[in-house]
Amino acid sequence: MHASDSGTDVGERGPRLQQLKELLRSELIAILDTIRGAKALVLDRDVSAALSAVVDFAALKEHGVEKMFLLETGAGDAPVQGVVYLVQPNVRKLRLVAEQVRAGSGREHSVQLVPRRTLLGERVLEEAGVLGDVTLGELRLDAVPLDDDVVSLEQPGMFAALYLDGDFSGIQSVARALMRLQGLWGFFPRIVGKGDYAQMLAHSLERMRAELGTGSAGDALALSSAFDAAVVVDRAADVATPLLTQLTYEGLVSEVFGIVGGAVAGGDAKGARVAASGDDAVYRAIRDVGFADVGALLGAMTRQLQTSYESRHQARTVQEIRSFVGRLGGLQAEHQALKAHVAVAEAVLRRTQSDDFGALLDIEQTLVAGADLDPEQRAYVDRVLALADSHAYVPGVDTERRDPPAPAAPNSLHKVLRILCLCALWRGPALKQKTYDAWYDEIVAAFGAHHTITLDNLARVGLLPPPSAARSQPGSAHANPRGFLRKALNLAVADDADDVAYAYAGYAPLSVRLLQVLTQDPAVHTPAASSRYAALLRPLADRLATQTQPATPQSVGGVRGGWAGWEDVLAEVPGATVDIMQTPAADAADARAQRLGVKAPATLVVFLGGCTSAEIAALRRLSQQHGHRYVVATTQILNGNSFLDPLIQHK
Amino acid sequence: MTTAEWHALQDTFYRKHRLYQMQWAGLDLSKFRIAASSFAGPIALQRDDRLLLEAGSAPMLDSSIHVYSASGQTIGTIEYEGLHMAGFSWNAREELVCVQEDGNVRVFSLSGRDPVSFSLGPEAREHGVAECCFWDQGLVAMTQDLRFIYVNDIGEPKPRMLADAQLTEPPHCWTVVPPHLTLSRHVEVLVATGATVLCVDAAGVQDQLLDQGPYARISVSPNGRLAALCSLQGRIQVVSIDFQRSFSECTAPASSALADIAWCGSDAAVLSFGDEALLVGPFGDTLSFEFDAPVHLVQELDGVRMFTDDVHELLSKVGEDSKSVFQIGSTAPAALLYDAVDTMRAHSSRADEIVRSIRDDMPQAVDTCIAAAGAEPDVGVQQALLRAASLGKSFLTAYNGDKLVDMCRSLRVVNSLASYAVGIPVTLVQFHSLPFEEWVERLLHRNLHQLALRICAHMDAPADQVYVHWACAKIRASTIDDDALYRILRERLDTLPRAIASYVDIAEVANACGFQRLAIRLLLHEPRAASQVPLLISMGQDDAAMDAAMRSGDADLVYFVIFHLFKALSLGDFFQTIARTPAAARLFEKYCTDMDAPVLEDYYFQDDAFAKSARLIVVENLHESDAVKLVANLKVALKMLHNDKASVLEARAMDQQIKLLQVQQQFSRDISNEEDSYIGLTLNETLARTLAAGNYSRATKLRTDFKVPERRFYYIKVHALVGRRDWAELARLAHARKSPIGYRPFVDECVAALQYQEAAKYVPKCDVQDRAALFMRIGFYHEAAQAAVQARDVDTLRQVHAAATDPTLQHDIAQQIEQLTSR
Repeated sequence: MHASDSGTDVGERGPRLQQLKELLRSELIAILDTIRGAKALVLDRDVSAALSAVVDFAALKEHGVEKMFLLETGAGDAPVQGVVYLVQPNVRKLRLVAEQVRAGSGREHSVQLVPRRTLLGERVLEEAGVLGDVTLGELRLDAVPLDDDVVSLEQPGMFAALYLDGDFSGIQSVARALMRLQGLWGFFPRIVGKGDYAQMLAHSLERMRAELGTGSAGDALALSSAFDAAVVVDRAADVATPLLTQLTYEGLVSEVFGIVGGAVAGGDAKGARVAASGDDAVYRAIRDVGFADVGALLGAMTRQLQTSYESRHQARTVQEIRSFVGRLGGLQAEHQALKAHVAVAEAVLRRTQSDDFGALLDIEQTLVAGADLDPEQRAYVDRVLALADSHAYVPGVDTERRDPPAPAAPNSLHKVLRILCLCALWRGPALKQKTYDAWYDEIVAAFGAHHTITLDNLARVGLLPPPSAARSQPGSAHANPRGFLRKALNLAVADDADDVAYAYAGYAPLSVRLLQVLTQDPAVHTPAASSRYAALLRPLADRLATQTQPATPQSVGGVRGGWAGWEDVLAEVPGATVDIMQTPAADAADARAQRLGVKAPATLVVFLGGCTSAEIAALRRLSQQHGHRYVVATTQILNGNSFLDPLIQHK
Repeated sequence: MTTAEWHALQDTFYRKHRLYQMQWAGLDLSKFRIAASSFAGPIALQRDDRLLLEAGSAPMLDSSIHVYSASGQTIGTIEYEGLHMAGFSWNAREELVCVQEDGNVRVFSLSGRDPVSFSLGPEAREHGVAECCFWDQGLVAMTQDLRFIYVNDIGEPKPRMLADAQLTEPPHCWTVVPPHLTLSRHVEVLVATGATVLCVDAAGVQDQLLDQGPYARISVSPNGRLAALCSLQGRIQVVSIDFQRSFSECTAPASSALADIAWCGSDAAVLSFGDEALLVGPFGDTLSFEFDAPVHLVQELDGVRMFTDDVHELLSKVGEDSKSVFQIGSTAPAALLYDAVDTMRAHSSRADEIVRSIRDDMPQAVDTCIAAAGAEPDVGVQQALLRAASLGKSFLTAYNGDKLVDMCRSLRVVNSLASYAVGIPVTLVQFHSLPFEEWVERLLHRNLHQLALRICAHMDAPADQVYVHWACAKIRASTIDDDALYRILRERLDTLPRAIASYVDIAEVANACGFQRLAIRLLLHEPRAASQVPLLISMGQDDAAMDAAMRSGDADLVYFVIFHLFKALSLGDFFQTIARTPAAARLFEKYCTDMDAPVLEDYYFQDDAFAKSARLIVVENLHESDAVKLVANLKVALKMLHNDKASVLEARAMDQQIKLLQVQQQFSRDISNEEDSYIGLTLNETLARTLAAGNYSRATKLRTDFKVPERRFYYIKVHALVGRRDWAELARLAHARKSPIGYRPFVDECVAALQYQEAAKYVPKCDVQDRAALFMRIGFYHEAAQAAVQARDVDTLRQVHAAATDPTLQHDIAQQIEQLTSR
């Protein structure tokens, strides 16, 4: 596979994310050591995945952790003297902590807020009257490397927090996390982005740098030679992508099973862990494969399973047998792992071959292509609504899976809402008020009256706007902005297996296309865009004329031109446009001059509000094509369900 | 001669260097309680209020604490009034921590700011504090009832009790092992009681089972590996910290009682007995030093300072570098190089010979001379050594001179700190072990701004802290008005090449000193919004604080302002104020929602936010299982929704929901089993359950009452009928009239329920194109073949051919394929 070869090649240059992990680990250990003796660890569910990415239980045990509990259960009457809470400074969670602290007096309680200690958190504990009884601190678990090109910023549900609740606390945490990256690898020479909160983040970063600069340490931090820029994508700029069914292998696993903490949710048939992270060699090789190849992939895996089994027959001489026996333990583990992967892949394949999946995909592709649903597709939607199952397992949201996934996806609220939101987003003003009203009644009848709140939430964040609201969108030059964007950014790509659109089988994520605009990737250079390019190319051509180098449109990779020339397109994408040059400190001018000659090997792509596995796969594809690393920093790895879930009013 | 200060102890040497002749003329130390700070810090004296004084004999009868520099010059006086002190000591930040006998702790800074105080808790208050032991971050106090209370961090005091050692009489002595020296990383206390030593920590008490006590003194070495024990009989032992191994033993001179122990490095202990100090080496050998007056010890990183009424001396081990240069008869290259300087001065040709003889060892010789200069207390000798290094360096082509330059720079600072006027006799080792800013800070404590500034410039370090401290001091001492003061400050601060960091620190002082206008003007220069906010609030500038918080982009700061406003204003005013900043209002809303705070109701009410009020009611009633209450509450919500024109859909849904609940109540009446209750089901679920119960007429009524669309009703009904296997009713439904959803769902539902015979009945009613595939799926190959022929679908026909097992059928199909394809 040429793809993975060049992948490792690209991966070796630029920032080594592992450094972060070591840092986080030592900080965690230092906190554990402040509580003497045997202790219990009580974890916020939203922290536990990050924790397991940083340390294993053996290491925790070494530092006195006897048992671990989830916050919902608490440490109960475990025989420990000390209890360490690792929780986000969320009001509801801290109220739970306070309750448990009150119940467990006599113990030593340490409450570590993740990823930062906030006044709000202090206040909640104070109101509950336990602030004096606990040691309050913070654990900066805010930039957790999940892979050599993915950093989790650990802010689940951020889109809802920002756009529904107006709670922008997360931005500060993300800014602190990015400052940490900048501390390790230097300041991003450029911050580009799209979205209102992308702007807020960029300003926070600028301010934090200015504050550092006034202190004594400021000058020590030079511009980065590892990252050429940070590209910040506010999820609000592209809400449609996560709603679509992901069609890479990892995306499908996430849609069918759900992925929790780098493993398939619920595990295999017996509940044993099945790895779904880059650390697992088998999984790593298959995770980014496109949906059409899953069948072939499964075949290859099964064959491999057989050969690994049969290699014992090839042992002829005594030495060979001995060496086989020596490898037996490893082989058996490998064999088991492979078997589990095959079982997962089979379930995924069964899902993709079901009628239901076909119908769903058909609807998605119709909408993305700009067409309206035909009667058969409408009938499908009606049926899903009529036969709704409000207790269905929702991959990506629920973690306790009871049964193996059925071939047809259960008709959960999430599934229905994803279709409806996609309709509203892509049809735009073409959606009829009558249709919207009918949906409204259907949802209430199928899932309960409290979902009027859910529908109101979705309308307010712009995912399912009533047609009356959609029509009155200000500042747009186009009746249906999304239709315009489809053409301008070449979002619907029918048959190009090399395009990033492979991750959604024919739809290129808007988020990734925005990055491609910045990197001047030819994929966005459609005939329609050529006039845009002309303005850009002229100075370039002049410059090239004086040099002898031939101009190749393929010489992409890294952020080049900024947004210039794309103003009309950007005007149709919601939110502010950001482009900031971080200038070097006055006395570091030579560092910049030195840097200009060398191209930084990586670009940081920040997703505020999360991104999908398929988007990451698309960026990996770009990394290979550009010979340039795109490192993803995302507040959460989403699928459509986990994207919508915080917007849903649960019972 | 340098070596004149050296004292040999086996093959090592100790240097006793006279630092100062003390400047506090005629002070009788015996009348005072003394706390001397390490890192060459200040010495605090307080008259010992338990000693009787001859009338008129003492100059200082008051209870205030007098602070002197190490050279004996007055730095300041701390006004101390109150109860007897159980103990006092300097912490790492040169603050004086004073523990009163009632358990109150006061922390005084040198800069004369108001002391910070805290209490050691009810146990201390009740029983009183008897004694204290300190380390640079925290302290342990022993109460009168012989319990130990510890505070790990004086900056953020959380007093806690150590385990009860069950002491019945006061211990002979006790000492603290600071957390960074223990295995557990938590503070421990060594208590000498009876003949043994107890090790007490928060978790328990461990008897070390010693029998050679009782011990009058215990001291733990700076690296925490050794302990020095001194028994009441005067036997001195150095043992490992776990008391398992003894390293050296000796007997103390009988002359007078042991006063103190300090460690000189990590392997030798210095004991003071009245006028005598005794150094006990690693192998039990001793060196004795006599003084004219009782001597006091101060343990340092690299030695022990010893001071009396009259003199101040430093005892430290002579390093290898110094030894190789100065030891008599040394032929080390560095010693030769050092000699060469003298001979060269004398214009002797031997200088050249010496240099030649060093040859390849020259880099090493230069390095050694530089290092030895760093260890040397005498400036003249330092200069001679550096000169030697410089000479040697000139014979080297590729020697990096940075080391020499750095040494010269550092020594210059160290020497100026050690001058009589400043009185910080720091060694180079100590100087490097603290960050540079700390030293600047120490100069600022002594109001030596000019020197601090020069040293910063000399070390190329930013001088922000100096300017800030200067400005604060200026404001504190000032009597002129705000504007004049502002002009003076700006004049000085504007001359700086770049803006200094913490205007807020200056503004805080200005505000505290009553210069509020000045404070506001200064705050405008502060780049960090985060630090502006609290000060603006304390100055009553609420709007400006909210602005600054919003500008910072930090929601937490906005919360800070919100909480302040909530507390400071009446509810009505608060609502009005917060409404002016919509982003803040949303944060407030979110907080209240999460806290389930009832104030949210009032907020929505005054805001006429009917839809939100209604929503609140819905959320509050999500888990209400009593249908009557639920209906009543939802009716209130409905009323609110009717007030809001934009909530037509919600109102309709709410109306339907109330109706549904009433219907469900009715249905539930005939049901005895709680689990089968209809209450809380959705409309579709209610329909499905009535159908599943076979109550078709009731379902139909529901359908008309709630205007359920025909298509939805059909889907639900087909699903339910297949579920209860009521094939007759299913057939009736299919034949009553043309199905609005087609017949495909009939087939699909039957297939999903594995009822292929039933499914087959409805396939012929489906689209012509689909029939073959559907028959295929349920294994009806004959029918599939027929349907395919009918639809002229060769592809499907081929699939049937492949799937079918009946040879006759296969043959027939093959023929049909031929017919279809030939035409």
